[in-house]
Amino acid sequence: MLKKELNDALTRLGPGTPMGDLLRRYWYPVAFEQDLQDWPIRKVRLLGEDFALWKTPDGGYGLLQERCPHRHASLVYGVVEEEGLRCGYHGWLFDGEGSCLDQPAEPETSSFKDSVAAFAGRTAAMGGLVWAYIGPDPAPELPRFDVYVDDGFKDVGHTVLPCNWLQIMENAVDPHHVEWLHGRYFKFLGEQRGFLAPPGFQKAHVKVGFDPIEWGILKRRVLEGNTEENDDWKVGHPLVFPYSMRVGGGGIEQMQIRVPIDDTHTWVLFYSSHQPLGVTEFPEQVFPVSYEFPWLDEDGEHIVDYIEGQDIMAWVTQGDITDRTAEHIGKGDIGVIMLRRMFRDQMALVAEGRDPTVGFTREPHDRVGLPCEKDKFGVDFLEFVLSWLSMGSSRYSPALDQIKKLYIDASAAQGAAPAAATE
Amino acid sequence: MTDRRTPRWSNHVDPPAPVHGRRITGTHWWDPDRIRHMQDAPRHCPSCGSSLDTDGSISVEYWEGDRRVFHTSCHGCGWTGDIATVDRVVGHEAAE
Repeated sequence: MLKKELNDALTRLGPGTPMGDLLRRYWYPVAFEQDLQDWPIRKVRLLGEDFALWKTPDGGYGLLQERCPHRHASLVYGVVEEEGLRCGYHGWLFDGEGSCLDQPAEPETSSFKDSVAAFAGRTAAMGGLVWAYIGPDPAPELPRFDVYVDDGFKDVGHTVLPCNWLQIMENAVDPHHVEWLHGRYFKFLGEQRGFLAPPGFQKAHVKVGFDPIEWGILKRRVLEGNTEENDDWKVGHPLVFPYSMRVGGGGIEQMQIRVPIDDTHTWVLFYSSHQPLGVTEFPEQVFPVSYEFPWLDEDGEHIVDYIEGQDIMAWVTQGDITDRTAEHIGKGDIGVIMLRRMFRDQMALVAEGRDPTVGFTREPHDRVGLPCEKDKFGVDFLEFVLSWLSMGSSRYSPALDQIKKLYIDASAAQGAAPAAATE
Repeated sequence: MTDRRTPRWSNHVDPPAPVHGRRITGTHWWDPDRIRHMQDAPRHCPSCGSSLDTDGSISVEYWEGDRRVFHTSCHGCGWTGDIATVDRVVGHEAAE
């Protein structure tokens, strides 16, 4: 339970709020690169602010405040030029730094343009996503997490949810929900509707643990029938501060991304890099496979017969910003408490004019490897992967059959390898 | 004839008096746990006495059986620990 003031401080992320100041110290994905292939400009909303994102003629990207400083028409309806983005209304031209280069209706001798600027964010491309930074300069390094930069077959399901990003992040440090929401509840649905829910998710938790690490909070669990020697405890997987979770198993390497659009909307992406064991060459891709997956049926009810649909039900039904002044949390929620403390610590650092110390780097690097178990729940790798693919949001992927085949072929090759070696 | 504007029943409850100067409002304003949280949540660090409402400090209430525990961290001095309310002091039974 929290005081209202504290709940507000932890969930309001617009400009000038303490949480907004913290979250503006990080890079966020704002679009898929292929989104800008057909039309080079699109509107993006991030941390309660609207921007025009455009693809430059040389293949880079630019990000400006959506409203033209002139008379506030949207720059989303602008013209892409060599030098930058020109407003469609009166032709004011801005470069990628936000400098105003041209005001066609002003006298040639006017220096008015020198006194006008648009807010410009920083942009980068990585893993088929366009990333944006809208905080103070100098921008930190964009962390090049393994999932985005390692070879693999990339498949990304995504959707926008009508809730605050924090309640989604709190779910990432709540291991117990797995055995209930994805275990008992899934089994109940299966019994009612006549399908077999994945048994691996039904194992009871014996022990959970949380360790603060450089990139967030490392979460560990021991499940019934397993020991501390299993990957679930020995390796674990991290919440990646402040808006992601690294997860996977059996060759699936996934980042679950929760981009705070504004106080009450979150862009959720399940970014998977499929890397079946023993496979080093993957089907060629120009861009990751991307698709929007459904979470409400035609009656407006939650679709709960797949794993992420169950999570989404829990996140969204808590309300747009859940009222933590009326919650009743227990000892089983220590991960949630730890995360709230981490946010308060980091907010204070930023309020003092310092850099955050978690999930943040100024060191140039090629790759950031994150710990993540491969042996998930002590279940056979192929069984785990196939249940994840068929009973998760991947079931909506247009590449589902191709991905399944990748794992089945890899498993067959692994099985054949020892026999071949003895010949 | 009944005046439709006057309900024959009422679920109206007087709102609680302001706690520490703040009136509790919202969907769950009547929740006794919420009211007790407002009354009992530590407002100052037990170690250095700094206000816990300042940036970086936090006090989160959780339940351990019947025990109400406030996990508290002070940004001022770094003190972190659990503060538990005690309604009644109970000793353990002497060993036989």
